[in-house]
Amino acid sequence: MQLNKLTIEEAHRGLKNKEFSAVELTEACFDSIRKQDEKLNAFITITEDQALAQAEKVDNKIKNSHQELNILEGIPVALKDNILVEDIKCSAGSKILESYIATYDATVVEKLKAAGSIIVGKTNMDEFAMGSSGETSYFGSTKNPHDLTRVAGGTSSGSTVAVASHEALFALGSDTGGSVRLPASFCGVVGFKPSYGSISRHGLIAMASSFDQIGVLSKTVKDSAYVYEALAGIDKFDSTTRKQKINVFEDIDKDIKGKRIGLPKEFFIEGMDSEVKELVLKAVAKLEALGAEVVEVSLPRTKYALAIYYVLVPAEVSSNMARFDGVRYGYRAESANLLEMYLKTRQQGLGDEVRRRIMLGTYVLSSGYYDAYYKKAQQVRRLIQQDFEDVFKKVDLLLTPTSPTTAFSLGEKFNDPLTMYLADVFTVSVNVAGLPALSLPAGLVNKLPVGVQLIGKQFDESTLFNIAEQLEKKL
Amino acid sequence: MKLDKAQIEHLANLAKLDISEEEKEKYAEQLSSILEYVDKLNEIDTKNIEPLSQVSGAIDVLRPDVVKQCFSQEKVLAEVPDLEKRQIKVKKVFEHK
Repeated sequence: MQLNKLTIEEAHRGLKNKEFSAVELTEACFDSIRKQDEKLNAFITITEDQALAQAEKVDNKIKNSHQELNILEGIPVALKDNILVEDIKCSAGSKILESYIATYDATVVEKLKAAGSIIVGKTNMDEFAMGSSGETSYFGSTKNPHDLTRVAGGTSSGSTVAVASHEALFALGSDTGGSVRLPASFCGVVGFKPSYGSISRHGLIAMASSFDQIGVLSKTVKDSAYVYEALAGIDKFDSTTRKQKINVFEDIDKDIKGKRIGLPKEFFIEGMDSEVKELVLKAVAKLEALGAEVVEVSLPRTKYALAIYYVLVPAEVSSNMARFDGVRYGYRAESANLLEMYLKTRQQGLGDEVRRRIMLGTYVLSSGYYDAYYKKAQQVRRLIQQDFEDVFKKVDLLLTPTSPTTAFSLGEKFNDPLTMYLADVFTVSVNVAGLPALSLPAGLVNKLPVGVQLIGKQFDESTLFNIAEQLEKKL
Repeated sequence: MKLDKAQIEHLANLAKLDISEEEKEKYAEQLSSILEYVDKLNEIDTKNIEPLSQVSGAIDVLRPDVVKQCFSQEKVLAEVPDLEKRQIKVKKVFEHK
């Protein structure tokens, strides 16, 4: 038995029944990292000593106490390197934070530690979570385990590959426009992005604050549900957390007869890879076989979602990135005076895509252009949210492809930002409206994974997990 | 909307980025093509539509204004690139005449 290949559920059972120890489980993950990570480049920092010490604690508890074992206790997890873990480096994939050591735990980390999870390391990512392929990382691209010449997808590239390659049993990423779902689709794992406001962003390095949400990479739907239950809830450090966690297990095993699934016609467009489309429609047929009712619906303003995304996100980026000035922490460039220090620190410390978005965001917020771009995009954002509200009066869930294609080649889109942005065309609407969504592996095309995206009503994770779980069993 | 070099220089100055001549041209071209894509928003009539700034539905979340335990000062100061007597040190702000 290769312990690192277990799901959370299986590993939990094994630990509880004393079939193996938490130390053995953790070591199996580190063996896998040692064996593969040089070529995959999923990790930026490995925390082996702390992990093994934590695993020993869990083993002692199992040996010496009759206390119930928490579902995540003793389970190895990888964290995207924009989530702060006290006393551990946190780079956000950037030179400017290359040697930055986090001064506190993110709320999700506090919760994982309290649950007894074992943090194996911090994972590679597009710089400050800006990109779609994992290629903007200062620490080099993460490779797709299905084909090392291809991208893993971004921005949670390392977290996704860590799970796909069994270097950890699950991982946390962040999803601003598809950064959990797109790599999950490209690498063949489950990628879950909760409703905006369900999981605290405190301690997540901000990219675009009104879009960012911490998400889960896992091997199964149920595993994502366990992690959601452990992390969701109102946090006094994040005033956008709105909902106490929802019990998603109550309904997860129910049959889905009579559930209404909408296929938004705008997501089944010309130019989509025909074999990808075929697999997605196969998943639709499986849902029908399970008794769900499938209907075509329309989200008429879908084609504007990406446009508003690339106005509002850079605007929020330009504001959030202002704090990286070389004064209080991070990289500081040599300079003759203060102004030169700002200019050079930001020029040398930040990569191309980050600077491009800062420039773009500065433009759309600048005097004379604010109304034409920023305000206009916010108005259209409301219309897109309304489109979803209207459609969810008719259906329980939406199903779309996660991406129009399978993983593309490294370098293929790197020099053309607009083409790269189009990789997110099916995922961004969800963040624009703050909805929960999940990418589920639907099969392979030319040996490369394809994901279907399930989109739920805001704060209705329960229906999302229920339908995803029932569909997963048939795929 | 086509951006020219002077506009790019203005933006770089606002954003405090020391970009090279080569980058000015590159960014002018790339930002122009992104803005051209974004211009499709003008197809939509947004008269009387209230802008949406966030989607959580939260309005004016308040908390009691009380002193609480915060981060460790030692850890925070340990991250400062140049520290003297617990003060953050930077290069001179004004040039001497």
